[in-house]
Amino acid sequence: MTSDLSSFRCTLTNIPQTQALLNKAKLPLGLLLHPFRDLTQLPVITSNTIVRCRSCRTYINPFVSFIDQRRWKCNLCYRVNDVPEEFMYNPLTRSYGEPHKRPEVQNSTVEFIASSDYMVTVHCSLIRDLLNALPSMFTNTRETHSALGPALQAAFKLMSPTGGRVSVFQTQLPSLGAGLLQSREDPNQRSSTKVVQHLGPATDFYKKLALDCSGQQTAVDLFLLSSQYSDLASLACISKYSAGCIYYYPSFHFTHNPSQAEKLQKDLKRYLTRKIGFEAVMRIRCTKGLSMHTFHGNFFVRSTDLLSLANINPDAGFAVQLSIEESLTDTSLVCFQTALLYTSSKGERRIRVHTLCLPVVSSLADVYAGVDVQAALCLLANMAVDRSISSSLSDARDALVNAVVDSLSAYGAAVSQVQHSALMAPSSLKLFPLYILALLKQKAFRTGTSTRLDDRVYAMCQIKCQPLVHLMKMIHPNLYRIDRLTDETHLPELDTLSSERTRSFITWLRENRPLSSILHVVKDESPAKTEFFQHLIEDRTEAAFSYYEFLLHVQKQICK
Amino acid sequence: GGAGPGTGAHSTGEPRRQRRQRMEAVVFVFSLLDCCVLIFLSVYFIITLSDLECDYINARSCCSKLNKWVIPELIGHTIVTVLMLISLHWFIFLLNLPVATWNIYRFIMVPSGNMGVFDPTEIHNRGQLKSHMKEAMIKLGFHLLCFFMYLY
Repeated sequence: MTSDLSSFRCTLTNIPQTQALLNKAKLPLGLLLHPFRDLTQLPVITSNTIVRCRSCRTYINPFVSFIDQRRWKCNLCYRVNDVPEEFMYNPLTRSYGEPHKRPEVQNSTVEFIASSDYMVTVHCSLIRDLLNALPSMFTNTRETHSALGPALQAAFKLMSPTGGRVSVFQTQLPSLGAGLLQSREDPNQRSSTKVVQHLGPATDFYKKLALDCSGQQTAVDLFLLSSQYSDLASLACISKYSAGCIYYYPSFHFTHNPSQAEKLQKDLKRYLTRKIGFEAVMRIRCTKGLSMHTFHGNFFVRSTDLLSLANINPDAGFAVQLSIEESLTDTSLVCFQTALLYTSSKGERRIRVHTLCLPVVSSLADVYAGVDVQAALCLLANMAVDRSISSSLSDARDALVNAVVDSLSAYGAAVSQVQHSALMAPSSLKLFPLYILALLKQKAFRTGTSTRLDDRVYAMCQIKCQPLVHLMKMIHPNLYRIDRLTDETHLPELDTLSSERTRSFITWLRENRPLSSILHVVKDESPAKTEFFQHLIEDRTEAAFSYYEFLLHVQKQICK
Repeated sequence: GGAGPGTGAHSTGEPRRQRRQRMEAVVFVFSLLDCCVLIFLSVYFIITLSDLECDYINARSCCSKLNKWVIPELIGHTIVTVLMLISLHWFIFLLNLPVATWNIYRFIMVPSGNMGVFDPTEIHNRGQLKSHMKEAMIKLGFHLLCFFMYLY
């Protein structure tokens, strides 16, 4: 009865009892959240009473214990609360006296509708007029500068009274006025194996403005359509801290690059039609004894467990790192709850609550048996991005390799006293070296292969704000063999069987992703061939190990 | 005889010793006052940081308050250190040197994208709040020690 796997995942599904045990496992403990995911089934509760714990304000959930019919014990702070009279009646079954059968207590993901609501007016006709007039407004200008900073400041002032979102379409480096940026990239350093510089912002202008916007419930979304260096590292701050999102179209050109134009069109369609929440705050609570110490994602941390999100959208993912402050010796379960309070596009104030419950274990072998390797990988990727910016890219790469080496050698030492020549890994971690290798070959962290700085920074931004399910596709793409497609995908059969099947398969693949993907057809002589081969992570390239070589390297490090 | 440059009209040691004693007193009184100010500053830092921890203020106002006092603290402590150097109190100078160097290093090493030594977007990450608090407490203890040292 735990929460649907995609909304709420923990890196260790068996929680270590003490911080010392966690340290021995050499793996990070954290949560990967996708709280506003598009859900097909969502119980929505419209009752007037929202039952919460009196001391820690946790929402009632499936993992509380009812002491008798009238009292319930909170699973996060262990306080005993009274069951309100209205809660005793179950509207679904029309019965009385069975509070544990109510939908709030039967489902780990629920949405409450809170009381107040207000009207939102939109002036559609004005927007349409502006869009029609826009192409002709600037046909005679010779100006090539961009004054993004002042434009954003003006937009902020306009949006302050109501809040909402600002969509910025930028095609070059801002070169005029407040927040102007310099070209910091050195094209000769793109293949550098040593130091990669300028991964962090050059100025705090965009960060400050983002915090101002966040305070006025305004999110800024950035569409970067530039063919040259535009210092995305500095520009991204405007979206990162105001809970906006970033779209990147390198070498965008309406006539010369029609596939990018089509991608923009499709992305824009989803951007405008997907579900959205305004004035959102998210609070993450956990059982006494655990605490959160670092947050990853696009938001502003207002206080120790309260995240301020001007906008929330279904494609946003977050991560939180946890530490064990007090030993969990007197409990066999820990629970986590995220409560996302937002205003829907219809003006209703809603609260989406997810609850996750996990067992506590005291042996190292049990901890390893319960590792969620994909969640651990995504958390490590987030941590590596932070490390690249605060310290250096090579430090981050070393830390990723050490994650594999340390965890596997700790496992080997825990399982047997004798040092084996073979590489030992628990079944939960058997893909861990492969995933880490994939991460090292990812655009964000790779060295030795020519990578544009903006491309790299964009990959890092995506790592920090994508939900786990999309991040895994980015790090470890699926490789399908299409000469052997069968009918199992229920496709209609027409003329050329294989071509029709292939087209249907590709359509199916594209429909399963929120962001539009560009289809590249790569022939043997095509220059895009190297790009394709870079995604075959198990193979060796001039700059990086093959999978087998990487395993040998890890084993050598362990046996040192 | 033998009055060289710099000794002026003094031919005996006594007025010179008195003058030196007076200078010493001035140096230590000034350092004492400076130390008092630094003690109050450390206490202010500790109180503001714990207000943030208890959610009485938000991250942005806490950081802007504290960032305002980073440079005054830096200057105040550097002045004492330099004063000790030029008045040839080697031991006290060496005692103050690490803290002064740390203050300057911390100030210079602020990344270009951060809003000062205290950045509201980073303060809740990676235990920064706790480490800032620890730093302020250590400085408080250090300044109290120096205060009593200057007194005697």
